[in-house]
Amino acid sequence: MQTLTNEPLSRHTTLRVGGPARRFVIAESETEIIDTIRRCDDSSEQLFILGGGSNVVASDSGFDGTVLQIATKGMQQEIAACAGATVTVAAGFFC
Amino acid sequence: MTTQAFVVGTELPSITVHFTRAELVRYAGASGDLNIIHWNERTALAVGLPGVIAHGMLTMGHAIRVVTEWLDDPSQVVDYQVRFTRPVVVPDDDLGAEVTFSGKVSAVNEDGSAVVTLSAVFEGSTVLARAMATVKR
Repeated sequence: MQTLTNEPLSRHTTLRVGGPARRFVIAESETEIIDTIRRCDDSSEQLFILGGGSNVVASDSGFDGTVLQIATKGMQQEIAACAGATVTVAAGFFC
Repeated sequence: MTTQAFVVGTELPSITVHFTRAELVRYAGASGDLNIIHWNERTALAVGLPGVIAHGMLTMGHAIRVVTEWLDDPSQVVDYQVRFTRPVVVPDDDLGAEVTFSGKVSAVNEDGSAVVTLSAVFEGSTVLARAMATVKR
């Protein structure tokens, strides 16, 4: 998990606009995602969940809270004789 | 200064737009949203879409033109939100996908601002839901 302070959102949106996020967390596992959300909930901090940065217009004045970037990667396959195959794919953005 | 009356029920002039593949390519470049489903039919079909689809934000951008062309000053728009409910499928031809946008003043707030409810219709169905813009005087 990486935590950045006053990170410009313009670096993470496809439109390349957006002021600083007070805290910018890059989560690479499910546990990191859950921990970050739980911490924000517990401290009533504003939370914005970001993926690859498309379909987002961030304000020039930035975000006074935590932006959580989902950066989980990978795929798991379970193949069983009776159940067939189950494929689980991480929801993080791909680039 | 605005010359438009903010009266509930006022209908704004509608706009018809043809979304073409060429426009999607230009929007991909301008917005930085290079998702393949917006320009490659093979990939769009492979992931279960009916074909190449327009960027939601492009549709959203065209829809607000109903309001900005009605107003004197586009910065009177202080809030704008939509939900994307159906994809706009853009064929590989010169005409493109025809979408008609219209709007109506649905509320006037105490501070004099107005709420415009927008609609976007493609092939007889609406593609944006809860599309609303708040405009100040």
